[in-house]
Amino acid sequence: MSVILYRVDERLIHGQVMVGWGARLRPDRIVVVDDELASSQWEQELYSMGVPDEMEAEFVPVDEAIERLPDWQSNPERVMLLTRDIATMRRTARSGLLHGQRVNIGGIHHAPGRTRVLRYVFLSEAEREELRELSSEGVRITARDLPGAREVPLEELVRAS
Amino acid sequence: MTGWLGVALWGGIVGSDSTSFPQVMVSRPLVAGAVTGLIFGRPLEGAVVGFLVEVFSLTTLPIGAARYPESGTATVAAAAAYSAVAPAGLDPGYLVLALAFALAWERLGSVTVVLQRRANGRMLIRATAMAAGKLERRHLAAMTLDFLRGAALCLLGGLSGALLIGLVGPLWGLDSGPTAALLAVLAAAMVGTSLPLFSGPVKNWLPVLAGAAAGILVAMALLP
Amino acid sequence: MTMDRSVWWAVLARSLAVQGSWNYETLTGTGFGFAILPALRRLYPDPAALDAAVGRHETPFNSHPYLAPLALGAVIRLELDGEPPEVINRFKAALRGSLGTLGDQLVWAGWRPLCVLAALALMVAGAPWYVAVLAFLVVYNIGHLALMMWGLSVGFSEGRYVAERLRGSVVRHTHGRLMKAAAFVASLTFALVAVAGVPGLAAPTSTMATVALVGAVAGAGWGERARRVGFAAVAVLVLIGVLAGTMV
Repeated sequence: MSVILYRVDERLIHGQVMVGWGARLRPDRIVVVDDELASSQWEQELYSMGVPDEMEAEFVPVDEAIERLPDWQSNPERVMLLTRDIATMRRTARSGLLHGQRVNIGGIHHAPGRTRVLRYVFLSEAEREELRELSSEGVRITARDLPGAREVPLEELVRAS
Repeated sequence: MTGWLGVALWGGIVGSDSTSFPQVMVSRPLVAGAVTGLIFGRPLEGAVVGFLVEVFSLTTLPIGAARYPESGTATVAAAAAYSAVAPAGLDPGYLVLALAFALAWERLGSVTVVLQRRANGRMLIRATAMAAGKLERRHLAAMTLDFLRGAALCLLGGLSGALLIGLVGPLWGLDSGPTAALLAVLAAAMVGTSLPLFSGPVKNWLPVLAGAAAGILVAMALLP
Repeated sequence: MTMDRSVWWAVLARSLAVQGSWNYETLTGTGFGFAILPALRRLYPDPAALDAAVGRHETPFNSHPYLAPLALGAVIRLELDGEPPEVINRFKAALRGSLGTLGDQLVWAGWRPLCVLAALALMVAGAPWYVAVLAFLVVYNIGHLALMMWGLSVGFSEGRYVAERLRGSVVRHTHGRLMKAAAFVASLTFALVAVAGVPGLAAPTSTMATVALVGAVAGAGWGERARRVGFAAVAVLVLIGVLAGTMV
């Protein structure tokens, strides 16, 4: 298995991912799964600005991600897969290809309708429900912003606020 | 008395500088310590306390962890405490105690930073479209609060540090020679641990070797 | 279209305080709103329109503080060009992560430790404390302010396409050189302290220096844990020192 991290993080490619997780996991490729970004060249340019030259970054729609997941998972290349929200990770997981994998919740910020769960995680009721469903589909979900931090189990995330 | 007023004022500046304003790095331990020493007329001692805390802070990078030890305010407290109670000149035993105190106090500092950020949130987020003037006032209020936080943290830390170090200092029994040598070993080791930050000693082996050679040459030239 | 000089300086000055109201809900979002206000005031003279515009800019944002002016400049350009709020929000979302990463690598893990280590080396080499401190503050902040001013200007001139400009700019290529320089200075400072000791105190013996060398090599391998080991060592030293005093 060579997808070294599945992460949900609103900020996608940023310091925690590149410096924090990047230094620990040494990815060769960053894959951002997002339908809108996949077709927006100028936004891709902005997001990839912080990616060092020796690393690849690509932006793919959910359909393509599902198609290529088996390849990423079996290839020796080290892939870090990012989505900006839980819904996108959920749609990717519908393929069944994330069964038994660990998904990391890394940063979802304050917005109307969301309540605070952790310092770096704010969730709406719908998002809690989606996390429960993901988990019932065999995906292991925990939250952790940086590799050294405490890994927060799903139960703490979906606990009614 | 005016010394402690100065500590509070300087502490407010150092506390603000590390996050709020203006991040010109007067909050680095070396600077924070030297100026604190200066307030008590002992700048060299303050700078050396700062030097020691600084080598322990090299690998702490603010890249989004839950909390970071706040080394700036802790150095102000430790340097003030040292200046207030240590015997004239540089006393290695008292320096170790000041360092230990700073390393403990910076933990408390990080807790106050978290509290400050929560308070900022309560004060600011009801901010679905806060009007311009209100945003400005709240922002400045948050900055004022941070200044006061730094001042209180340094004053309290300086006084309790002085009390503690004043009590424990006279008990120090290790000779100053060995103490200084042990401190140097520790400091050097901590500087060495910062090397992996810079793409690692393996990838940049040439500058690393050149640096070590240059360092040894300079040190040899300095030694009597 | 250019930015009024007074607005330019006001935004630059305010961006020094972009982290002034750091909070877990918007990170530096409210600070961004605070910093962009002088420009918005010029763009939206009508109070109701101004408040609406400010409201759009208090949403979650975070970047390296020294690169916030780059984001501010680019967003001011987009506002000036009359881009729809939706595009501006997407622009900010796309930019913040990259500016964070770039700033972390260039400043927090590069320029700052480089300058700090150089100041420490100066002190060990016998420079008076005020020389080390002043040299550090002056040199470090020339880099700090230059980065901020450059960012505000380049952001404003390139707007939405600032990423393409950055791709070819010196800033990105500076990282490798910074790392080499910092590796050199860190290694030099290490050797200096190991041989000459802490400024103002007696130098360690050669045996002690060897211990330092071994400790540092081991410490370098421990990574983040090294700091905890260092803490433990200080605690042990305090214990030994005090015990030695009370036993005698």
